[in-house]
Amino acid sequence: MKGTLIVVAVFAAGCLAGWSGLADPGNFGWAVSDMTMYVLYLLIFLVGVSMGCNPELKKILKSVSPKVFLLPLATIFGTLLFSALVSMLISGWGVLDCLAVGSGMGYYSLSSVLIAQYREASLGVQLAAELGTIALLTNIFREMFTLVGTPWLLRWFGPFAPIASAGVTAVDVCLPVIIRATGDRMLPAAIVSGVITDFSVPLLVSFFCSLQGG
Amino acid sequence: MFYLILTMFAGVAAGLLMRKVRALAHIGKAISATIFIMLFFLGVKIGADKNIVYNLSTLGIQALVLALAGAMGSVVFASLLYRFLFRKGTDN
Repeated sequence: MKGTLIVVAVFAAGCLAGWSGLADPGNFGWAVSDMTMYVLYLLIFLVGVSMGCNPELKKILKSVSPKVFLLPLATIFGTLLFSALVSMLISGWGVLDCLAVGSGMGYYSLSSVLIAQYREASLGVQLAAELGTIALLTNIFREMFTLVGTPWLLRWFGPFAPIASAGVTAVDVCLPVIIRATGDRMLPAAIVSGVITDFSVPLLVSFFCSLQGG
Repeated sequence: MFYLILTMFAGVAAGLLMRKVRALAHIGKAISATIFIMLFFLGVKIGADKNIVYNLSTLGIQALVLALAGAMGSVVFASLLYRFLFRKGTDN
C-alpha cells in the first residue's frame, strides 16, 4: 500500500507542476521528447535484466507442478477477453487501446508510462497521456479491488480467484492478503501466477501498442 | 516495430549472463526510480493540459469499467480452471 501511495504522490506532483505552469511540456522541445523515448528503452531493458538475473525464478519454475502454469494463462486470457468485450462500452477508445490497458494486469506504474510513451507517436501527446492515465487508474483500481474483495472472491469463485484478480500484484502487494484468506497452500500458485503475468506485461502492452503503429 | 520487445529480451539475456554480479540485487530500485521519473512527466503532461483535467471523471469511469472487466474476466477463467482441473483429487 505504501508503494501505491508513493506512485500516486509522484504522479500528483507531476500533475500539479504541469497544471501550475511550473513545468511546461511545451518548453521541453525535441531533445527531451527524444530523451523520454530512450528512458523508455532503458526501463524495458532494466525490467528484462531483473527477470534474467532473478535467482528465485529457476527454483520456482522447477518446484511447481506444470498444471499451475495454466493459472496465469487463464488470468491473462480472461483479462484480455473481457477487456476486449467492454471496449464496446467505452467511447473514444478502440479494442486495441483497451487491450493495451488491460495488459497492465495490475502493474499500473509500468503499464501507464509504457502506454503514454509508446503511443505518443500514433496518438499525439494529449491522447497518449489520457490513455496512460486510464491505464494507471485501471490497474490501481484492480489492485484495490483485489485487496478489498479477496474474501468475497474466495467464497464465490474459489481460491484461484483472488490470485487471478491480483494479476501481477499476486506476488507482491496482494500476496499477504491472498495468503491470509486462502492459506499457505496457495503460495506457489500465487508466486507462479504473479511472476508469469509480470513477464507478460511489457510484452503484451508493447504488442498491442505496436499493432497500431508507433 | 518490435524493438521494445527485442530490447527486453536483450535485457533478459544480459541478466542471465550477469547473474553473479552483486550490484544487480538493487536493480529493482533502478526500475522504480526510472518509473517515477516517467510517471512525474506523465503527470506534467496531464496537468498542463486543461482538457485532460476536465475529462478526469470520464477517464476515471472508463478506468473503473476496464478494471472490473479485467479482474472479473480473469476470475471467471481462473475459477473454471480450478473447478475442472484442480478441485478433484489432491490439490496443487
